[in-house]
Amino acid sequence: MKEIIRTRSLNKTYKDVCAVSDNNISVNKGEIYGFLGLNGAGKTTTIRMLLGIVKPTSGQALLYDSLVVPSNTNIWKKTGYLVEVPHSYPNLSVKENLHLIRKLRNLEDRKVVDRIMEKLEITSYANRLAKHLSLGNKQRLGLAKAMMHDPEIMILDEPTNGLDPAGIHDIRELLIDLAKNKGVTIFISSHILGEISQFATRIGIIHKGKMIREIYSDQLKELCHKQLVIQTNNDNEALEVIHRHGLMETMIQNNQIVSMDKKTVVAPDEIARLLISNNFKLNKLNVEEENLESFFLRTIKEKEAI
Amino acid sequence: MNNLIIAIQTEIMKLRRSWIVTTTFGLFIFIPAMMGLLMFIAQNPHMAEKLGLIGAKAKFFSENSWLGYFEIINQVVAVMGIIAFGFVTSWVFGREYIENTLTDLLSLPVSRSSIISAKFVIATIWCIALSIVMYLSALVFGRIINIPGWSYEVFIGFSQNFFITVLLTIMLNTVIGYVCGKSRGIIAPIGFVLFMVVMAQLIAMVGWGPYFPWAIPGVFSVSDSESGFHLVPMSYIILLLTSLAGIGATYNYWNNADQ
Repeated sequence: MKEIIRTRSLNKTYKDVCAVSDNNISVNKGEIYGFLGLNGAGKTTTIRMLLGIVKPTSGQALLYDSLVVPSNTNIWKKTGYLVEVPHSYPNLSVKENLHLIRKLRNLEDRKVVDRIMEKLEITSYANRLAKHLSLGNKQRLGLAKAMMHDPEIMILDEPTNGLDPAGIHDIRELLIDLAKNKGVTIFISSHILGEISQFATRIGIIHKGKMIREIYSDQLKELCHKQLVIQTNNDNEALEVIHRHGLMETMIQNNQIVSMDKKTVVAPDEIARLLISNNFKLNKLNVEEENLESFFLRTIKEKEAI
Repeated sequence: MNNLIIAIQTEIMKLRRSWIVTTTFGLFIFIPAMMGLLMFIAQNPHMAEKLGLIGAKAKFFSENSWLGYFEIINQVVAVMGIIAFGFVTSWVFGREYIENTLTDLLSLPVSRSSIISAKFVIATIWCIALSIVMYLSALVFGRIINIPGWSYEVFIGFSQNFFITVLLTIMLNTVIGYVCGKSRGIIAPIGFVLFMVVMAQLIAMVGWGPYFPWAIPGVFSVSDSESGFHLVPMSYIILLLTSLAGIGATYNYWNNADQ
């Protein structure tokens, strides 16, 4: 697979604050790369360096094997982007804003504007001034500007901010379609793992400026912890019985017994038999999967503990 | 060149429905109208007194003729030009920061240098258009109130003086482009312009005007034979160097600084 986005030991320091530290990212053609991090983790700074808006303190950012520098304008011909909250010229209509970007992208065909408005379902707002748009429609306008020229790379910084659930779904489907059917490479940042995991092929987690983990989305389920949740007529005594049985990774959390022990997760029927044979009444016995946000926070905490 | 034309076209598109365009043109018609009113009062002091108007302002003009009227118009364009042209340039560059549209312009096939050049071109055209409107308005209002003492020589002298003053003032715009980028907005450059106007007045009063860039257009417009109150060759060199420094700093900032 052809590598299309790459960073080499990318660093950015503002006075004494290190925003991004020694980042090495590699994204192949057609991949949807989810770039995940808490607020202030260094996502936007990395994206700004990928777009040549911010100069790295050291290291390099490369798109299509070309170094990202402001003078290298060729790389932007096939790159679309959206950084943070998209803003447009407030006194121009949706259509005028799009024509302005069409001109700056040197696109002769005026119909691209109509086509992209239709694709992003903003045709009915074509003549509305940008300052009168809702946040969701501003976001759609921003995306329209990012993809009107059929880019090969799209770099998107939290593009679903402000969209309602239906809007998020639409954008997700649009991005999946672009990656799968048109081979567009998508680099998308977010702070919500649950959202990004639904369509990213690979996820990179950044924390305090450093990449702390990279995972393929299909590995995610395996990495999320499972736990057995039990409720009995006497949880404290039941816990003692379980501990006596050697299952030490079991504790009481939120008024229920939670066991992280792999044996119990794989064979919950054994613990059920144990408790019933000791005359406990079982009210609940359930294998629960760690949710994605817990996994994300746990990954960060584990890294901080090292 | 093609990129520059594209960038200029988009700068023109951005001016659609802009209240600032109409306001600045309105102002550049209003000012000569006021000068015309003052001249009318100067010519008819008895009417001003009857109306309780500013009779003392009759001394506003050195003489109640086209020559006196033109002198005032030239002085006004020197001072108002620095303020208004500075405001126009601040708006053309600073709007990208206050409307948060700058990031849309930074990673495009059209180079940042083309975008900067287009902004300078638009600001210059806008300032020249304002000057032409003011020039024509001054002539029309002068005709309407029937100022005496018209002569071809006076008219040509005024026209030359007016447009050279405008040109000298426009040359200072380049510095504003840089201040906009550095301050990431529009307030600081406007403050900078007002500060420079005040400084120019103070410096000109002590006779150093020919060496201070922001005083040079004013000194040119009211040139006096007395030393320190007329431009010397060095004045033009200082102004040119200031203008070139502004251009260099603006291009350098947009191309190299973090945005």
